[in-house]
Amino acid sequence: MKRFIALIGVFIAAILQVSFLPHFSTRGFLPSIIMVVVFCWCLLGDYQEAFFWAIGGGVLLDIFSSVKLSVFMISLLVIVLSLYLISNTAISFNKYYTRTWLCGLIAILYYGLIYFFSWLFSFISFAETGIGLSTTVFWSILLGTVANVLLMLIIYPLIAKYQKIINGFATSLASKL
Amino acid sequence: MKFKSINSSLFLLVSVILVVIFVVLNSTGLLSPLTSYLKAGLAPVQSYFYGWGERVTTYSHLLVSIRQLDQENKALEEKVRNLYVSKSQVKSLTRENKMLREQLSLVRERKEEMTPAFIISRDPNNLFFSLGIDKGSSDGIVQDMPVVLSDGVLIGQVLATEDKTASILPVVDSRSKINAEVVNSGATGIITGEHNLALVMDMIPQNKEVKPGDLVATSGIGQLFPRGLLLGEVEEVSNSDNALFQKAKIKPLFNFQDLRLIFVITSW
Repeated sequence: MKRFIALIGVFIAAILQVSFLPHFSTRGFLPSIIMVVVFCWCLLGDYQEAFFWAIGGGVLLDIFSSVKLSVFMISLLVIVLSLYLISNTAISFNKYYTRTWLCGLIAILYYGLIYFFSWLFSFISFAETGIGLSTTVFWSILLGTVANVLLMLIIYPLIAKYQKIINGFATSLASKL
Repeated sequence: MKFKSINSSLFLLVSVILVVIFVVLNSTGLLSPLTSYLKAGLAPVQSYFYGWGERVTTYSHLLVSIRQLDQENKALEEKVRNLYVSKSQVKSLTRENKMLREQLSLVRERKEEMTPAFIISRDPNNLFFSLGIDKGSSDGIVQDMPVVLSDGVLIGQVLATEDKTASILPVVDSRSKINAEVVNSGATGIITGEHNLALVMDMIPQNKEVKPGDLVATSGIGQLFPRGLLLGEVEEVSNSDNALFQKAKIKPLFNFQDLRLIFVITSW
């Protein structure tokens, strides 16, 4: 049941990302719904769910993208792995302040990975991409990062509440059985 | 952590294997039939969401821009007056052109066949700006076909096709390269996109005059696009004595955010 809801969620998030959000882009940059959801699940300690979103969301974004080399899935999985490694350090995810700056850092990492993999794969596929680091790109990453942090501040409490409901439901079901 | 259980490790292992399989299949294009079905199935949903987003932005822009309407109205009135003047000049030039063509027996009317399509999605990769449309190879759309607005302004070209959908490479994408010419002076060059914001025309010979306000259109060199499809207006020209070529910043004639109905030129 949980997986089925997650699957529907992944589809809706991916369609919103490619068909609804582009209308609200700032200088071409948008918040990434799936990246933010993956980040939130990692912060809540449910890495299975984060992994599921990274794979499902990554597959859909890669299908909708014009870059044919699974850039999104790989980038999202690197994000999950990075947050898993960070969670084993002394950093606590419970603080509001920590969540905010960490989301900013992860968003920069995410865009950086997409840039890097697109650039790397362009050599493999011999396709000219015209990718270059310029002031425009720098500002775009900065704006995208701010947008992701704002989206995380809205989405995180919703996912935390959903996790509580699902966990409560599972506990009551287990006690009945 | 949930990863520590045996089930989770198994789940992780299976997932990694699936990821590797997906990456290989996607990279080699073996997933194309499957993605084609998926895209065709999702196209109506995407179209609905795209239209919904468009309505939301239209209403919000309307609310924000009410104050600017008066100023815009005055500017548009002036533009209309200028266009009337231009129209009359064009009419007389068309007459003259027709007469000259008849005299030279070079009468060739432009007969472009176009297929209308709606934009349903955009590339989720912020680095590129490809667009998804609701027409595909079953509608006669083939890779590299030019894509225009109804008034002959070039939007881009078909990047890839599926059965019921296709993706468009817009001129503002950094991967786009188009042979272009400045309408007034005939100076040729290559236009590339600059991160969805502007166009840059490079390789313009030093001996050709290019000035802000000049219109730029496709040159027809390479025969990928018909000649004369408008691309934009020269905004700024950078020229130095040491450089081999001139470079110009071009302002596109369309707002990338407002695109909805486009036309694919299937033959010309």
